[in-house]
Amino acid sequence: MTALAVEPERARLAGDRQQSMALTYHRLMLMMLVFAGVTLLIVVRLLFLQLFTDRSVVPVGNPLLPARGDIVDRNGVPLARTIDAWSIAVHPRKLLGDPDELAVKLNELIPERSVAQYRAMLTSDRNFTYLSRRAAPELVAAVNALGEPAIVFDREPERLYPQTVMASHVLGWTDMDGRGVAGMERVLDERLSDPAKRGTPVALSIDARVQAVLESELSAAMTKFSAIGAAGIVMDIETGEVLALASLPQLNPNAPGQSAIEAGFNRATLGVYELGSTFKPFTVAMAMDAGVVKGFGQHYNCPAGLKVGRFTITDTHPFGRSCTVAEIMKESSNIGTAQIAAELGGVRQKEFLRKMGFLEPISIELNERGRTLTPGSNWGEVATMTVGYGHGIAVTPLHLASGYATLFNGGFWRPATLLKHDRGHPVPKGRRVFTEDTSYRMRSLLRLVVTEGTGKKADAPGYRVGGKTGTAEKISGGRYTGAAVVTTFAGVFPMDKPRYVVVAMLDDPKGTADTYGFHTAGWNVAPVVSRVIGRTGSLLGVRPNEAVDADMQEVLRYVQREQAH
Amino acid sequence: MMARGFRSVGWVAAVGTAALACYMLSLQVATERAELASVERKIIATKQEIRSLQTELGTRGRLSQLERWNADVLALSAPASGQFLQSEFTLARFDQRERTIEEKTAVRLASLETQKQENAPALRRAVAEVREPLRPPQAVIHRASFQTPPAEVAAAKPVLIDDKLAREIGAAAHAETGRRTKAGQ
Repeated sequence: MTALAVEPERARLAGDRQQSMALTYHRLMLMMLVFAGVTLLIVVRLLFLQLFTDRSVVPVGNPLLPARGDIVDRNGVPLARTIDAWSIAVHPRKLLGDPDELAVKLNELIPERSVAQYRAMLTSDRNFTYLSRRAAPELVAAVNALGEPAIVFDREPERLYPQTVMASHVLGWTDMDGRGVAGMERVLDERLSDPAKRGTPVALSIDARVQAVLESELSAAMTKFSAIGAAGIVMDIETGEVLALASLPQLNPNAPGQSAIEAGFNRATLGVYELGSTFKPFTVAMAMDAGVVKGFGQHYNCPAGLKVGRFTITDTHPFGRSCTVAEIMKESSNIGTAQIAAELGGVRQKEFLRKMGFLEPISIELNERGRTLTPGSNWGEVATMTVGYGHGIAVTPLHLASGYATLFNGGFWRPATLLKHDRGHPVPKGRRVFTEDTSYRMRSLLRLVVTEGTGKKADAPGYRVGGKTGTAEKISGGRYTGAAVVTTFAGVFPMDKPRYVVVAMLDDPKGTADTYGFHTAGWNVAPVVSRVIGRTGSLLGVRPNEAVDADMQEVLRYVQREQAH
Repeated sequence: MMARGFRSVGWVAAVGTAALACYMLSLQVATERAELASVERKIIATKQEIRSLQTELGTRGRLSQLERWNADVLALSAPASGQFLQSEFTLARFDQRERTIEEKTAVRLASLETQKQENAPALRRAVAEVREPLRPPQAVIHRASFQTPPAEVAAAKPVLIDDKLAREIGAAAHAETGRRTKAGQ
């Protein structure tokens, strides 16, 4: 083969070269085609990407949408918000520094845990553990300055209550996972975490200004009279909206775990108390509605003591003579009221109380509602009489506020609400309990208590306050001792056209030098109502005017002046 | 020949330019879009910051804190009922300053020149209200209009009023003056 091949060298050479040239061209062409093809492929891919990539912004969620909806007051003042807070955590396995040294430094910065606890956390076998949640930015900066790479910082939503302890029993609080566990946070949990709705804040019926005043006055009185607790309510008579609801002591919803368990108890809606003489206006109104009491001039025999069965009903200011209904109310006579209640009868009394919602837990959004205590099946004559002046029946202070609203708004009972009434939440029609006439005539009777009777200290000049004091002995060890009392004042203003009811209650107040050792409602809790009304009345749209007053003619002529005797 | 030779080059150049222009345009649009997105991000970040600042401000200026500051420093209290005025008359009662001479004069003129005040019903009514309890209206107008002795009145009005009437008026005015000085004493 080789010999044969050598012979036609030249000719073959030329042909060979041509052939190899062609081959080269061929290969070059192929190369070019490959390049062109690849380029084309890239271009096509680019075009494809250009044309078919979905550029529409995938909504990853509105970054302005809070993780949990805001709660605001009726004027839009934020009461609860969700903010991005810092959390400090550590990956113990990735720790580079000396755990002993680091534990000491961490203890200096975050003294909530001891050095030993920090050491245990840092040397544990876990992958991740929180050092501090809800940390302040200053603390984050300080911990970051330690320079430990295993310590990490993260942002997570945190529920913040800007007004701190204010209205804590209304708002409630959330757990670490951001779920509401008490108060309105719990009631509105679904609404506040619903992505479709949480963008718009929930408006409560609370007015932050009124709430702040009520709390500060109650807390001042609580301190002054060394009471163990206090509760207060300001309520719109016509709509049933609660403008302020306070229960002291309070806990800080920003750190609910750090407060005393006692502070979590809502005295205004969960606690039931025998509210004493504040019930007397109901009895008189019931009797007037039923036709038992025809007018404020009707006389009752008021001896120094009234024997009923084995009980003897007594008065703090015994008349020892016959007295009118106006006088019974003015001096808060148990004996007189008991007789009115007896004339009314237990059946009608019970029916009225049922219509006023006093026999069932208070009608409000909150879950913290107490069951009222009534004589139940034992509702005989004695029970009727004692219930008439507020003993033997225990209701919440909010029941009382709701009852006074019913009595003075023309006689309609409406459920109390913590949500602001607007188009989506209109005022309910209500159910009639008292006649309009009774409602109107009761105005002067309660105004009389404040101008002339036991509630003089509740008067706020110009605001035409009317109301009733109540001092009830607390039961301790199954009997009334007289040592511990619950004092209440239920006030309504302005009496010529009632608009708001204010209820204040002190749990176990003590006498002071100022009060000459008395611990009755007229001395300790009535001034609270006076100051609350004086400070908030004009905010609530009531113009103080000393020139006008309720129509007092109907009652004043039935009151015997003590000076005249 | 030259033109034909360059035609293809021209085409290529034209197509290239057009393609480049389109590409530049799309690039421009993309840039604008990116900028818009970044502005939007900035807006969101700013809104978040506003919210957090509002929260911080609200927390620092919470009502209990304001009350504490008020107790410590400002010592302001809610307005008492006397500080609310029921009408403009109550407001006018607060005007305690002494009236200037001009103001006094102006008031006297208005009450004296009854003739001119025919056109000013409001003022006239005021005068009438003031004087009415003292004496009959007829005499008021007369006395008020002419602060002159009765003789002069008769002389000043001979044309309009006949002598008899003038005398009567004069006598009435005289009696009035007597009564007034008595009353004044």
